[in-house]
Amino acid sequence: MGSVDGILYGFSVVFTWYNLLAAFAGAFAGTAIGVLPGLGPTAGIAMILPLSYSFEPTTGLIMMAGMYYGAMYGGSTTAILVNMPGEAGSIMTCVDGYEMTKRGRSGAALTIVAVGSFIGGTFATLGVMLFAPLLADFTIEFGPIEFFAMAAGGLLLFSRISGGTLAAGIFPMAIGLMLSTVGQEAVSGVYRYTFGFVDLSLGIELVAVVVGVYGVAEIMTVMESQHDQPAPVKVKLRQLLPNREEWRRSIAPYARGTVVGFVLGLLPGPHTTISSFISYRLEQAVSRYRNELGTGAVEGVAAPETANNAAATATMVPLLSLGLPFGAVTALMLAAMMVQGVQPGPMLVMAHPEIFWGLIASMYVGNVMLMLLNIPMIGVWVSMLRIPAHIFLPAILLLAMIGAYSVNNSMLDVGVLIVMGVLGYLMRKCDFQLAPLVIGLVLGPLIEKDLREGLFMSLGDISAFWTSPVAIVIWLLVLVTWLIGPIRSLIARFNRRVERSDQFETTD
Amino acid sequence: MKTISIEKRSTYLASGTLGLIVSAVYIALTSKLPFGTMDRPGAAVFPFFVSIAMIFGSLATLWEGFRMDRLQKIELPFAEDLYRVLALVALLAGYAAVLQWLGQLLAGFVFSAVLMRVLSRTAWWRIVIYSFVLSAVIDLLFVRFLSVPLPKGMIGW
Repeated sequence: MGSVDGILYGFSVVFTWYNLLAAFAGAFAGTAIGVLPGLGPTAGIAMILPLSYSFEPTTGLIMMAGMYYGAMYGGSTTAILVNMPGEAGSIMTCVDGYEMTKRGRSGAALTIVAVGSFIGGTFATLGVMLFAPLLADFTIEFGPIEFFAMAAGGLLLFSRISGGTLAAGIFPMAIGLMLSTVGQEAVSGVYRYTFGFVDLSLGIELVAVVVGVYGVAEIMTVMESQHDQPAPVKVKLRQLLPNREEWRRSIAPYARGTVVGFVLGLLPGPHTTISSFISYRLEQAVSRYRNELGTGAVEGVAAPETANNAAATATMVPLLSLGLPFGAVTALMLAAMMVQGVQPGPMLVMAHPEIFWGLIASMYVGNVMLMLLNIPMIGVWVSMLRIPAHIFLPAILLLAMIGAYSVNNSMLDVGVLIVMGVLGYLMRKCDFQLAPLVIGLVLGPLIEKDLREGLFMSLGDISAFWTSPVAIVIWLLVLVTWLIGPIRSLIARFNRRVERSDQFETTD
Repeated sequence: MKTISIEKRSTYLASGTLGLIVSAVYIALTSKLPFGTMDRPGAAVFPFFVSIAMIFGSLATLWEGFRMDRLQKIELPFAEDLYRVLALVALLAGYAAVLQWLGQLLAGFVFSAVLMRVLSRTAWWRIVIYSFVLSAVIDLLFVRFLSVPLPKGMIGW
């Protein structure tokens, strides 16, 4: 099936009442999550993960994807109106967005962002439509050795570049992998680290871990300071339209933001955050109006928001074509597929074209829905910002705990949620990264499966894991990424010594 | 926000040490699992590699801790701000402890009411109304609409 046939098939899957409703519900809920502080898209998606088990896999994934890019839209609303990013990808939008609000141009900023997000999301979806099948075709011949290299190597790569120091990524990654080994082992049926508790035989529940480290930990951080959120300015509908000059100046940032976001979204790492930062830096470097950046320049909101939406969409490429999550959200989507018995990877496009193409088509539809939702409903989102914290925080926490309980009707999961919430809070304080923990938990079973299959096929010859050309390239990439930091600091130290010895020679 | 500063270095050293202890326990438990053969690996093989990753991660954390500048600090809440965070953790634990006994409706009501009181100076009658509405809506959504079996407790609500 070519890309055109595929996308037409995908639209036929999406244009059913339940899939359209799922896309709408996901986009709406995602926008609300992006607007409200205390619950980011990752925790929000984790909370609907158990719900998704009751639906068809396609419907559940459409809802989750809608929630993800909906949150990108919603996060920009608080960034512009009250100078607080609703999620990490909107941090740069605060800089010029709030300045535009102070100048009475908040409506124009919100519209520019909504249109930019639509453009970034739509063109990135086109990229997914073109690249994902090609990548799937390329990797279809891969065996367990190559998949082991991609999964384990990808996890090591992600942990190194997820931000912060080496320990900040590797330590949480190892914790995630350890948690993934708890429970009944898939092949032999041996119980590992259950200490006789029946509830632990099912393993550590992903929903409880993710909602804990992202949701509860974030709420604990919010509760540290008892201050009322500043009241957002009122935005009248007639103030929503940008003027001609603002539209004209947005075109180039939209284009640059789309390219930056799409490329960075293909790579492992916190792509939405990085893409919005890099996009802003690019505007500072090349924009004709770069001197105005930081004072309410349209480029400062158009580019980062376009980039973060494009990045959020582009992360679907490695998920759909390789079965590899390069972020916490796509890790949850991968988990949703696995629970439903859908095998992620290059065979997905052939084995489940309704999921592959349905999800891609839903992103086109979802982006249209979001643009139609966000501009006229700005008043609704602004009203949500006025809900006092003492009302919505208990609501979110109750939903979180009930969501965790409802997966397996187990109090153990509620306990895990609370423990992981405290752990996530402390880890954040110490600047440890949380995403490697989640991805380690999700990928652990897959890596173990590929390791076992690889050893079985190679008759126990472990050297087979680095004889495949694909595996060699991946491991070399991991090695370079890991060593590049220490090598650069060694070179810098050597250069400093040379400079010092030159100085001594000159004074002599 | 009232804060106290602690050295980031000491948190890294503590985390690394704890990581090594956990790794040691993990390896001890893993050694009791079957290793199988190289061509048919048993349940212990993957955890063995994971324990290596954990040891490496813990050593990296300790290394960074030793090399860290003592001037790098972590800000932790203090006084009322700390009590608020601890109150939240205690409430979450309390909710989990009583959920099976009181049932979702009552436990959720008490949880929301106490948390709202911790977070605000809103009048009690308003808190009671908000908490009741919140618990009832969640009950309607999960139990009636989504048919999720939530604990009813001894009272049977």
